[in-house]
Amino acid sequence: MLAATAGRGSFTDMETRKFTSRQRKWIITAGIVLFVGIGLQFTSPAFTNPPVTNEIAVPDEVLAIFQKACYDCHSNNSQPTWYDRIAPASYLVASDIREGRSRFNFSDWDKNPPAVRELLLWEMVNTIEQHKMPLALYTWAHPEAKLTATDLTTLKNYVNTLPGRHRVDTAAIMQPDASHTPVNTPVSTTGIAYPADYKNWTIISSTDKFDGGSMRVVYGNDIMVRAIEAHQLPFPDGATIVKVVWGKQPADSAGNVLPGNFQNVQVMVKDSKQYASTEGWGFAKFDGLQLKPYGKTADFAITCINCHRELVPDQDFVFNIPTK
Amino acid sequence: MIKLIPSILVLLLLAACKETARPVLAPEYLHPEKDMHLITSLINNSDSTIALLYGNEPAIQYGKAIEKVHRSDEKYVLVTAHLRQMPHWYGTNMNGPIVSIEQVAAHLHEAGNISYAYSKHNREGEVLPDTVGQAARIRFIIDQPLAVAP
Repeated sequence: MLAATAGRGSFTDMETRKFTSRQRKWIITAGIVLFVGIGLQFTSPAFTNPPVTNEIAVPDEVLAIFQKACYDCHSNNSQPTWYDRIAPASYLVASDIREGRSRFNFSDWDKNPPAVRELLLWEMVNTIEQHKMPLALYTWAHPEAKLTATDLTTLKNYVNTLPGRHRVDTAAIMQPDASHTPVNTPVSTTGIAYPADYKNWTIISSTDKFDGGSMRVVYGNDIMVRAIEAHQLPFPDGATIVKVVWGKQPADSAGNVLPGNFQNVQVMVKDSKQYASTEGWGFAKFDGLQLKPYGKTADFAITCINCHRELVPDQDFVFNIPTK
Repeated sequence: MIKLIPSILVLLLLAACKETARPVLAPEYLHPEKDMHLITSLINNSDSTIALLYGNEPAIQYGKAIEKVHRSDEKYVLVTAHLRQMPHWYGTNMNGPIVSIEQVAAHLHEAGNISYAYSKHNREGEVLPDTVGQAARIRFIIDQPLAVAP
């Protein structure tokens, strides 16, 4: 009996010691977290708003939507809340603002050429429609930034008033002649040579890009076509697509719209090693009948992949493929 | 470990759901025409269609010629597809399922005049009714200008 009591007493003591030890660990952990947390506040990024150089000019109802859902990251009028300023959340917020302003900035809007501004506005509509923007984490922390179906309709109505939406090509159709023919095969700054034999490839899609007043025919090389036939995604290395872009002539009496002037040829080449930084795709664009390579540096491909990465990651980052 | 197993199952389930979101490629929307090249593309928003007109080499040469005289060995194929919104991009419409395939082949008669054989069928080869009159349709197809592409 004595032994049993002694035994029970000993077990209770151990329980007490174990419980105390666990408490001690919690206290130490909490102390470390508190210490690190307080320490982080001293290195927390400061939030600054550079001067507004050129505010975007859009109707009030459109501006209100942008201010509600986009301005915190895409303008020089960021208004982080008190909890946005607490580390480590502040690091994430600062990173989002940095990234957002680098993509486009409503406070520096005229930095973009008019055509790019229009494209950005259409891209905004699409990222919102596909729930890619505003970021889910952002709307979780800022429920007031959530956009409604009415907001999206307002934005769609607005982009449909932009000049590119109704642009038609009424100029005389320019025909290529000797002066337009490049002496050597043009090569893009991304290292892609103009694939002159694309007209022998298979057409994989045709489009009416009414957001910018153009129409396109898209060719795929054998590797690309075989992959489509085999339902193979992602596409294998060597797959190449060529988009031929024209303006659009006014519709005839039966409603037929024909290609206007030739604008450019756009190329995407899959090479997962060479173009690893752009999801395995190399981009090139050759402008005008003289097929002038687009872009002063290869950095223009970043703009391309940013949009493809955002909107068509499930299609191996390609828009113009035939899908059900 | 007991808690870990359901977590892994949930993750696998989520991964499976994500997999089904991947688009299904539609090779049946392609209609390669052997030994033919693109003449032009036509959009018709009234009919919600988009079409590709192909021609053989003589048809392409006709398109390039300044003096427009049709030859007896020209062949044309007009592939018309439904026009639908491009998935993932509001602002662009693209081709969907093929609606019809029209073929025009020139034929030289002994008297020296050229006539044209016309047919219209669907992707499965079933003949489709002629609703606008063959003569007008043939003229529409063979007189389309060649789209400029360097």
